[in-house]
Amino acid sequence: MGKMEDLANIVGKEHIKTDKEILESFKTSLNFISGEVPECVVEPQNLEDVQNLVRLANEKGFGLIPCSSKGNHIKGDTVPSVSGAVIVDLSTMNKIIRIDKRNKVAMVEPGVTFEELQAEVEEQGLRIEMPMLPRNGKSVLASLLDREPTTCPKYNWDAIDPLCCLELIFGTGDMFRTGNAVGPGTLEEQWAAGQAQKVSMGPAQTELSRVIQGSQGTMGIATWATIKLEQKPKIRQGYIVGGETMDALIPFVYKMLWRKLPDVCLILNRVDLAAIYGCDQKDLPAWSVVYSISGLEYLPEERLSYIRKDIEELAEKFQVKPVQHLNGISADKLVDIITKPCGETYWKHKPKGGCLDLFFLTSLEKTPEFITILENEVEEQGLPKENLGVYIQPIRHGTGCHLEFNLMYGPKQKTKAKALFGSASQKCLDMGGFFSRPHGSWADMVYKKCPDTVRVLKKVKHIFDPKGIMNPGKLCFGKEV
Amino acid sequence: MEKLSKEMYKELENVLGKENVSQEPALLDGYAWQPALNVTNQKWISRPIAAVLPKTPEEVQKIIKLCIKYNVKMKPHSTGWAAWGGPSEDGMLMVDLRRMNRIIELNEKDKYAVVEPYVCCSQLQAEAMKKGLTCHIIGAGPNTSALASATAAWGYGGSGLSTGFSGRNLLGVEWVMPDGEILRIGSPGCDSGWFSGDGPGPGLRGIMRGFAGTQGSLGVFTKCAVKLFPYYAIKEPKVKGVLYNVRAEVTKTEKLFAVVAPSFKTYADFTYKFGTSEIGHTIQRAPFGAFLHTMVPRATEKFTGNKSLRAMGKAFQNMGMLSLSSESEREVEFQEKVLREIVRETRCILIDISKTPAFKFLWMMNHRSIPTALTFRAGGDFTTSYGSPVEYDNAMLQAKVAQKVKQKYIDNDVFFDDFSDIGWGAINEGTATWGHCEIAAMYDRRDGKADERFQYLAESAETTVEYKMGVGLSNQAPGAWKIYGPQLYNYHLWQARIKKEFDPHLIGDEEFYVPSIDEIDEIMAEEKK
Repeated sequence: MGKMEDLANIVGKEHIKTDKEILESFKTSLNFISGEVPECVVEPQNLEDVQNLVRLANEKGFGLIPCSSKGNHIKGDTVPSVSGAVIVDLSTMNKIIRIDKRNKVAMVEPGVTFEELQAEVEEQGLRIEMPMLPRNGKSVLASLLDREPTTCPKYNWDAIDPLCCLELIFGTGDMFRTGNAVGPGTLEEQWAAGQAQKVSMGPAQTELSRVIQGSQGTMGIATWATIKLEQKPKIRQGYIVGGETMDALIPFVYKMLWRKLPDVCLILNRVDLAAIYGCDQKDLPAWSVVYSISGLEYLPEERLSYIRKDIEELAEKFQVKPVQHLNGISADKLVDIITKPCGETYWKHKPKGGCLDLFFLTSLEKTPEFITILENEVEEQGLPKENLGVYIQPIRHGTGCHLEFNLMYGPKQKTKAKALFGSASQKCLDMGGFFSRPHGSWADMVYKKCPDTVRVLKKVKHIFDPKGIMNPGKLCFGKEV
Repeated sequence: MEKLSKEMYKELENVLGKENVSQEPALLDGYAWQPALNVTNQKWISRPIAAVLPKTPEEVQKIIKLCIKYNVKMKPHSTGWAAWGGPSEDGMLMVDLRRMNRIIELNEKDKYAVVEPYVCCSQLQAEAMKKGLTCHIIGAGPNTSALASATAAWGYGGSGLSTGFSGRNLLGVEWVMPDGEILRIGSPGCDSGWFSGDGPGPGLRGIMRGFAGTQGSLGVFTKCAVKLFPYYAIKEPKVKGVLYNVRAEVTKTEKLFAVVAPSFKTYADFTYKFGTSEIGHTIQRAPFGAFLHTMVPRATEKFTGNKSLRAMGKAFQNMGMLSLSSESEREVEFQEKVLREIVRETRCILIDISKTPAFKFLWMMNHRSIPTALTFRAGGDFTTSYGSPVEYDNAMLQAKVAQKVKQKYIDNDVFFDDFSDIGWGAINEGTATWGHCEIAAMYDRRDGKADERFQYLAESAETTVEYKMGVGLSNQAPGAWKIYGPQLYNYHLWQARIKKEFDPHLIGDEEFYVPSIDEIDEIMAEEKK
């Protein structure tokens, strides 16, 4: 039997797509990664379909590339590195399986988007810890597996958060459940006993959610995930603290995080703030700390009041001024915008049409050094500084931060932006930026720096995907299936 | 007595210096005396064949390569608390890491510390407190290695509400692997500092430890960065006296309360509301029987015999101890208001310990994680059970089920009468609502009832499965994988494949992990017979 016939036997003919336009759309990503055209796109409908696809790929020797989000792909991990690969489009597996209000957990299939989940959890008085303004159609599960930063550092205890447990098919074709989802008992029995699959650790001496996270589909395919939720505030207030330099802002943010006072807490430069809010850059301060405080179920007004007063005292000490309105920007509205999924047009594409994201982890204290490098690079490339957005997201209670440069470009600036992206990435890496999510062209550059890690990752790959069928050629793994 | 070959001994001396290698029996017995969490009738475990004291990761690397060369198994040991800290069988080399005892970095702003294996939690905490920070300390106490519980072992802490769980507090790691290669996990592997432990790409922490830690089966961890957490009290408090007579300086923004609930269900309700309202610095279930047994064990024996007193004590079974802490008086006032509101709503009883003479002692005990050590007092020994990391409703189910199971053994004089409830534990990580309830049981091993104690552990494991209570402390015993693996998606086979890839020469003590995949089939066939 031919490959297409085998695939049709698994998912049904109606769930196989071979239209040229669809296949071509997978050949490139918005960050200029280009690869092979996939042979087809298949849409499994359940766990069994996924398992059979993985078994077939092992038997026949072809690559599988899992893909959960809808719309344009940005980072390049779903661009096939080898010919003859099959895209496993999980976007039609889109059930919200369960929301547990008491334990604040949701269980979702790969195709559930942030828009869909947010609507459901808010009805229950809960909210999602999500990345800042995720693009329209972004899969919750894909975001969790990519270790994307979330906006409230005080709820972010560990790098894996808010991902909890996974159901998945390893590259070997074996099904597994990670963390507490492993049992004892079926999911229904666990729920009846008060469990909600919230703990990612285990079973025993493994935490395989953590191994799947960051693997860019090279170890297996997840068929559901549980996500940690938080209580939706009864009342919330947004604040902005502007500054022409970051000198006073950084110590102020450190201190606020030490006190665990703000919920949302991040820093934007004027370019990103204008792009997000849809206003003119020239009216804005060079840097803005954006934060929110909230009142919860008990005594919400009083909670808001003491946090506001405590922050005001801190602000005075650091000689900064939190305000609710800044040059036409309402901080409440701004917080509202950044804690929701983006509309039809992705905010990064609004100003110029295109955008390349250069991001890595570092210490909040070190961010000014990297910013200087990027500003110099932008100048050297002859791009206007108004094209360089900066987003700083403290993570894990402030033990580090995600530093993201948004290199916005118009149609005529494409080549320069691309060159800038390459040279600036290398400089940031050389300066100690930690590229923990090495997408696209970063993979080679990053893994050159840590050959010991590569040696060990290959052992791990050999365990979970010995035939190399899962997204061949990505990260530090070979293209051979 | 079995000894190392002369050639290996000589080579170890060449690497470490004569003074750092020994096979002196009296010295080796120090490693073999392991009463903690050892339910046999004697306090001894296997004696190592020799002990070595490396100072650097490179020396550890050379030791491992010699173990491979001479086919000798090794067991690393930091502060070595409990039976898994020593060798599980004769003939193993003890790699004692006590000379690696530096706090390498304490980053005040980014709130983490880089430590070597023999830095114990009390040292780290004392240094961190000077900077307005503290660390997670497991229940085993401030004497334990901060690195060991974060990289290779398990242990919940009394301050888990604000300091989490050791395995989740880990950032960068330096790991001398069983094949003799050194790996730095996360940001240190890319020369980017120690602040991050996951990536580039997949998170290798998920192979390295999971919930329980591999207890030395997968090599030696020689450095790690652990997260630190805010500490708002006096940075260098003046402390007078020892243990029960400790009087520590405490500011008025530190408060301590006892809360008593009428039932397991109400206690769980209170805890969920407490966590979700984002108040509190610590919370810990402290059943009255357990409290008495650790504080005044001799008097408690008399107390439990009196029916009226016993009934009164049992009424306080669902008791918890919680603290509020902040730099701001405003915040503590607000938190106390919310606390009182929750207590009113759940119909619990609240006792303000801050207004009692015991405050300055109990505050210090709570802050330093001292109570577990006191569990030895009643009979000289204790064991633990249940305690999986789960949602708190399930943790309370564990307390309820364990009570019935344990009572039978109390009735048969296997364990001391603690009202059948030393279920300590609480929610961890602020709003997260997951936590644990760990059931301790105290005994005097001179009674010779090891078989009954093993029977209790087996029963606690069986009820864990029967009532769907997660894979916890009852399920971590050596060889537990034989029972649980096939029920839990064959997790043991994945671990066995990891063992083969990472420890191809099988030099790591596999007792608390699994054997290599090559041996599993044989062992399972033997089991069936």
